[in-house]
Amino acid sequence: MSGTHDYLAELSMDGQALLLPQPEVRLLESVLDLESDAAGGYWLMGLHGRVPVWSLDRRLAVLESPPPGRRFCALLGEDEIRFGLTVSGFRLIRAGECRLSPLPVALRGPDPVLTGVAVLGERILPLSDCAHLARRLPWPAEAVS
Amino acid sequence: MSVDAWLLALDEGLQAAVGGLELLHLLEYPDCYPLPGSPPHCAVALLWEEEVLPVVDLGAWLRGREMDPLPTLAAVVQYRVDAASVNRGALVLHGPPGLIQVSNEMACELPDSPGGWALLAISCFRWQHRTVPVVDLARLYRGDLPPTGND
Repeated sequence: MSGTHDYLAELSMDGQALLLPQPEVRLLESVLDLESDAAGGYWLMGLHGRVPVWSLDRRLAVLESPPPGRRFCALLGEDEIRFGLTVSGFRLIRAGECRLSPLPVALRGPDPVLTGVAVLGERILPLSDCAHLARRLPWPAEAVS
Repeated sequence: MSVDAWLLALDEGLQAAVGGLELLHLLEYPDCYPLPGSPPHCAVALLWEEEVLPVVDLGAWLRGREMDPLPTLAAVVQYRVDAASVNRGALVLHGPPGLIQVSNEMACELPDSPGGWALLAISCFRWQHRTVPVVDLARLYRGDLPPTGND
C-alpha cells in the first residue's frame, strides 16, 4: 500500500473512482488547455515543459482521446515521472475516513496497477500511486528522454 | 462414511462442490466494486463483515470469458490456508446451493473438459448422473491461476 498521507485524492473516470496519495496530484487544469500533436498525443504545457497526458477507461486502459465528460486534467507525479490524466471529477478524502487494506491476492493479476483498496463507508475504492500508473502508460520518446 | 458438501451451480451447465463447512453465507444482488487491473474472472470485490473479499466467477474462468461485474448471487466461502489461519472469499453462483451427502463410493475421475478442473479440483464424485468436481478454494484464491481454465 502507499505510504501514510493525511488526504487521498479521488479521481473519477467514467464513473470509476481511483484513489491516489494527495501529494501526487500536483495541479488541476482544464482539458481546454491540452494540446494535441500529429501523432495523436496530448500534452500539457507547464513550468517543467511538455507533460504527456492520457485518458484512461474504467479498466485503466489508454484511450485514443479524451471522452466526453472529461473536463479536467490532473497533473500527477514527481519530477522524474510527471504526467497527466483527464478526469471527470476530483475530490479530497481525509485518510482517517478510510480503512486501507492490502489488495487480496486473487485480485492482483500479473501486473497489478493497484497498491491496495480503501473502504469508505460501504464502498470499496481502488488505491494506486503514480509509479504504478506510469508503468502502464505508453510513454512517447520525447517524454522518456 | 459420508460428509456434507454444498452443490454449487457455476453456470447453466457447470456444477461444483465445496465442503459443508466452507460455505458461510449467501448474498443476493451483492454490492460489488470493480478493481482495475484485476483478472477477468475476479474483477470485483465486495464488503462482508467489514472484510474486503475477492469475488471469483469460477464458471467464467473455466469457460474463458469475463465475469459479469454485477452478479445476482454470491456465496461467501472460507478455506484453510495453513494450520493456523482461515481466509474468506466470494464465489459467483447461478442458483441457490444445495446441501448433499457425499461418500467415498461416489468418487470418480475428473472430467476432461474444461481443462481447468485439473488445476482446481481436489477430488470428484458422481451425483445424479453428473460429474461434480470438488473445488480447492485455497488454490482458487491464491492469485496464481492462468488467465483461463478453458484450455
